[in-house]
Amino acid sequence: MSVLLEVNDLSKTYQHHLLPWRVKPIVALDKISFSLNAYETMAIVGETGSGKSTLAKLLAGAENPSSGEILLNGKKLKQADNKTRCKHIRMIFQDPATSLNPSLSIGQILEEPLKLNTNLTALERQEKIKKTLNRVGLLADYIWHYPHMLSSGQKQRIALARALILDPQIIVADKPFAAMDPSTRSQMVNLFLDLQQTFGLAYVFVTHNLNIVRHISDQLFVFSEGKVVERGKTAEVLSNPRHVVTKKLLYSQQMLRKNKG
Amino acid sequence: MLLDVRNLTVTLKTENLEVNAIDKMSLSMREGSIHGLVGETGSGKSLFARALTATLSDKWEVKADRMFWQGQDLLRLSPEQRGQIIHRDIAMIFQEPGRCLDPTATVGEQLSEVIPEAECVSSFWQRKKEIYGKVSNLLKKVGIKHYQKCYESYPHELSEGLCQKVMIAMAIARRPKLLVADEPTDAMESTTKIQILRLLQKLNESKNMSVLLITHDLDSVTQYADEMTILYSGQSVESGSVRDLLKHPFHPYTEILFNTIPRLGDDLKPKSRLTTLQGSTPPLQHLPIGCRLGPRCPRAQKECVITPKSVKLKGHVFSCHYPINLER
Repeated sequence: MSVLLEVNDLSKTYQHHLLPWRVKPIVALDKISFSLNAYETMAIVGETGSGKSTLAKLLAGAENPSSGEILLNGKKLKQADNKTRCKHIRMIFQDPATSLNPSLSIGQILEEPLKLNTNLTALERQEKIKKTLNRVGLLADYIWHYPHMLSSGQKQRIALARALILDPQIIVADKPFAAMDPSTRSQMVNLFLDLQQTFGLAYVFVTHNLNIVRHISDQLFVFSEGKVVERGKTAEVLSNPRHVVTKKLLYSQQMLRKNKG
Repeated sequence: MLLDVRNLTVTLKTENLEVNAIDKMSLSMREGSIHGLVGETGSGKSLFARALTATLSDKWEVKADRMFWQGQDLLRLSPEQRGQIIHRDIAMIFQEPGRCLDPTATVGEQLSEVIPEAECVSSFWQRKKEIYGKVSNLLKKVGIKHYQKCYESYPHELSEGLCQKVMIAMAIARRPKLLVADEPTDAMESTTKIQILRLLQKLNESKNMSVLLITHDLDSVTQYADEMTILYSGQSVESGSVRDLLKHPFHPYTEILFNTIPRLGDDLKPKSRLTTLQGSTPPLQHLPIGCRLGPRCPRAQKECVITPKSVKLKGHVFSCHYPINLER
């Protein structure tokens, strides 16, 4: 299988201006390299401020990297080339309630990426929207609804539909399950897994729930202060953690799981 | 019994609609226990907390067979008397602590306001010093090491976990008998989450302060709570001690809820499908009649259009026509 996404020495440094002539560089991400195939899921865990969200933003093109390169299907992605990037790499955000425009109907929300990125006619666009809504398990009637009329689980499905509508190869999800109820969460996990198996999507998950990470991911990266401190196959890392940060994370979640007494 | 609520009904009244957002819910709490109140979004968990502390607006009507707080029926008291009791005995903390604190005042100023004046013994000239001592004591109690620095900072300078600790410090200033924690660890990192929950547990043990832990995070409830009540769109589903509920759930919803969490220790095959409950929680305008779980329940039958009575069995209280795990 050819490598779908390859990242070489990607790093991000923010310039903090203490005084106009004195600049203090803050390293948010320090030389990350990895590769990802189709049908694969990569999970990134770490504490707050460890640079995991920065990596997600860099992949989706929301921020410019300070150095390093991103290769998609063997071709280098140029920073200014948002057209190809947004067709192949799409992003889902933590809170669907705030990432959907409340003044647009679901149909309009989903039509926007099609209008901007494809040459489809109005009729074809409607067809595509209906097909995508079906894929995420919603009825076609939802195009007339507005975001406030839907439950949080349905909103997250709409966010996923918006990501899927351009038939991307990679989906970057920044803590998609953090604010979800247990029953809707497992529905969404199932949906993600189904879509991966049918369409060969690759996922990059940024999360802090190790239980879900263990269930859905193939590769696991543990971040701490902008560096990868541990990486490898999920099962191996979780069963035999080496670094202090990994152990601390595992400890905190196992503590939560263990029964009292 | 510290708190005993029987058949609480909270009704939302609008011009053309009357909805029972909470429908005949019961809850009882022992003194000095941690009680978990679990439910999905919109199941009325936070509404219960607000009905208990009488902070609902006029649009809502609260009715109950009884709402006993240490033997006194709160609903039969005048609003002033009720307010006094709540003010004295019950404190509350919320989710997203960063937003609950005043962004324009330092933590020290905000905490000084909370210190009850009746407790200060020194003269006017030493008042400031005494309050400072009390505030730093509170901050020490909730496990903030650099309390001096925390005293002088503004809320935005502190991390989410520290903010929640400050909120807890405010809540315990009057030594309440009950702390209502409304999703205190929602969307927090796991390491911070465990700190907050441990702190609550420690306060519960050392100060004999009861905690009502309202959350949708089953993991933390099963770990820290002694007893739990499960809510589903305003109806209480099952309640009892956490261990019993984990071992022998009687209500199908309880079982499904516990099965939906993939666990680190389980031998679940990676990428296999998880058990789920079909559909989504009904919105307030379209509540089904009878047992509200009915349309989604795998065991639902004809009788489920009648609201089931709650049954007490082996220390559990559950309400279902067709309970599971019962040998006849």
